[in-house]
Amino acid sequence: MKKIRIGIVALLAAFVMALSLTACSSQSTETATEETPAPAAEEATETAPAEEQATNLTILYEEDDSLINTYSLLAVNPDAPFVDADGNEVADVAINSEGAAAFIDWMLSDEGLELIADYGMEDFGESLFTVNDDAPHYEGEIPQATDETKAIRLSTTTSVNDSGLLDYLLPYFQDEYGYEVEVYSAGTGKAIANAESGNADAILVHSKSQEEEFVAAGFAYTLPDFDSERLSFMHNYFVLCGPADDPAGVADAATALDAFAQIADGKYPFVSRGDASGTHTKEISLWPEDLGITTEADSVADYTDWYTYSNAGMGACLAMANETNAYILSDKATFLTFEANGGIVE
Amino acid sequence: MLTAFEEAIALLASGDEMLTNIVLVTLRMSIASSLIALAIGMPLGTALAMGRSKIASALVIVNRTLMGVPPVVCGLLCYLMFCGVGPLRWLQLLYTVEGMVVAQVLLITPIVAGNMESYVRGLVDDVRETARGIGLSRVRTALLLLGECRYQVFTVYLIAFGRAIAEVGAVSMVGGAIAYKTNVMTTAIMMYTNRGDFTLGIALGIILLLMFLTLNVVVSIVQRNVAR
Amino acid sequence: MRIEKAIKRYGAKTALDVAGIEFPRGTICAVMGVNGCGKTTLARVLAGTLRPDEGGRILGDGESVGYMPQRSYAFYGTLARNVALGAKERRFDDRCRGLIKELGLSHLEREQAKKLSGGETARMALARVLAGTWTHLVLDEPTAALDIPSTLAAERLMRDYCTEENVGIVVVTHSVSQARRLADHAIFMDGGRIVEEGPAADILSHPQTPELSEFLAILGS
Repeated sequence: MKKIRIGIVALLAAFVMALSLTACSSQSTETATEETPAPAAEEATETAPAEEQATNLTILYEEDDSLINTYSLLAVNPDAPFVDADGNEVADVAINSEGAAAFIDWMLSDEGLELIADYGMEDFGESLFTVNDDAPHYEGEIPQATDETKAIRLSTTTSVNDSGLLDYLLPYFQDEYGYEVEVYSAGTGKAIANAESGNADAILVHSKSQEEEFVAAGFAYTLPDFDSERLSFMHNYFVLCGPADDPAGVADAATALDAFAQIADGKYPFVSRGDASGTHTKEISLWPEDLGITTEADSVADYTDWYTYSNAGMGACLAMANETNAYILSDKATFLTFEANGGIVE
Repeated sequence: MLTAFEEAIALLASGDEMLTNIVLVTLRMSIASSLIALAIGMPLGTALAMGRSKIASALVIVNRTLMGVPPVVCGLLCYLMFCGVGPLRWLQLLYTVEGMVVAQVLLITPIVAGNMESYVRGLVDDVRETARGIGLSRVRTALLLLGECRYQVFTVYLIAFGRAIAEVGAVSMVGGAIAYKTNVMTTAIMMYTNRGDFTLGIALGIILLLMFLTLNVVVSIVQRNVAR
Repeated sequence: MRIEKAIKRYGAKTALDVAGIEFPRGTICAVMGVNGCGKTTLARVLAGTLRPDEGGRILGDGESVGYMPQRSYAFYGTLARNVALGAKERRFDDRCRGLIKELGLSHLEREQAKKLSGGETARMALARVLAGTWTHLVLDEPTAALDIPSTLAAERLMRDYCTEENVGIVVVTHSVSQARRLADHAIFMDGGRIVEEGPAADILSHPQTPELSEFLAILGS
């Protein structure tokens, strides 16, 4: 009898905890909305409650050449100049070069490229990634995995992982050749740093400048059947998203650069990743140069009234932009996933 | 809330492969690390409480300091040790469940030891006097003392397990949240939240809560039967 | 067993400062005094659980001391297991069975020791220490929690143990009447020092010091 009573109390307690969890998340939605400096009074009244309209955030501007988002594969050089935390050279870093080569070869084979081109049709009615016309192409044999080469450590960006591309691709590769790809995902900056610490065999990232630094520092090497360390093979477009009513009028801007200038001029709220990711790197290249915005937090110290330097993942930033009626630069795949999920708690 | 709950139940019922894997990895990691921490921390805490030298009191202070080490700091240290260029790279523990267990054990053992130490301190004088008085050996006294903690052991275990299952800072650094390998409930919640998928995050949170509730009920029943 | 000069200080306070007492086998010695006079400190020094700052206890060849602390502690397990802990090879033998019978605990043999009352726990602790084989025994207020019949039974057991096994027993007690009934020798302590000692019958009837006279007068009234 006593035991039952205790069980009921425990269940109740759990229920209360779960309730307060939900209460917390919905409360944060409300306060965030209230605190947002509304660009204009009438727009504030139009703000629909989250329950009625899950995502107010829409794609306002896309497919501009300056918004192109190119992804590259790089094999980590086993003889790279690895250094430990104190800057001392480390010679015997274990890198699974054969596995990395097999993975990259497969990604750039007919099978891999066709699968990539096809991804997204089923769920979103459009491809999320486009294979580059000049993508490197592999036509040779791909060896079966051995015990030594089986585990491939891939360091990649959240945008690739969150898009679901790898979940879709990897089973084909793994089932056919017996490899196991362990995906570590973080912003491009962190994903590259992870490889420089000897924790990855290959990287799949999307920041040209950071990739070139990686190559220049000797961390990548050219695979036998290719002629470059940096194998740019697919792209999609970043999209500029914002509230559906578009107070800054970016949808009509002539170029992406104009769109960003309009946001800055009117000081419309903007959410930045602020995490040195590929998306962040792209974003700072789009602001008018005289603002002096860089990846460093202090470069935006004067713009805190409209510019949010969030240091969070893409999804979290999208949720933040949605709740604060802000503009945001996102990779298209993550935005579509976010939108499909309704963006917030229903 | 209801949608999230329904989704959680539906996901569990459907035996979703990813979710099942996350739950299993979580359990494996939490049970292993809490049991190892218990096995090390209990004798350690008992020894700390029994020690009467200056060194013993210094060690108590060291242990209490370690109890407050932020998980991310512990995770960072383990990461630096285990990563591809770290001094312990030959152990190949980075981004493995074993590596996460090591980090968790480092975090939780001081907590187990500290809890045991303060509990045993309340008993040690009476037990020691009584045991010496009837001529029991030092080892036998220590064993008796451990036996006297049987009720406390469950409480301490729940604390250890609770820390292990709820911790995110250290495991995300050492484990890397790699799908089907080292992704646990907390890192998955972080990941889904970062993607903006709060519903799945809350669903996972509810499962986490229910798992801990179940363990609590089981432990309470066992505790009441053992410690009489 | 005897004590050479023994001093124990806690900070500035001297808890114990005694010299040269012999505790011969086959006799019972009562240690008396008001609270905080150093009785328990002396008992713990004699038992070997407290190391004095200077001097200490000296044991002869083959001498061993059993000790029952003031607070009786019950370990997890049955009363029988607790008593057996004090016995030879830690077995609940006939001697243990006899002891708990004498102390009126037979019906509680299989009870969980933690659930016993204060008086039952104290009797169990006495049985536990008497179950061992010692040349000397130090008992710190063994009957403080007992009613009169139990007290008398406990005293009978102590006396038997003393004479049959030729054991020297030191009993710390508050009770003058217990000291009169039980002890051959008595020690009266005050402020950590031994104020008066001698055959129990003599010093308790004819105190030589004002301290002991006062102590007896208060208890007598």
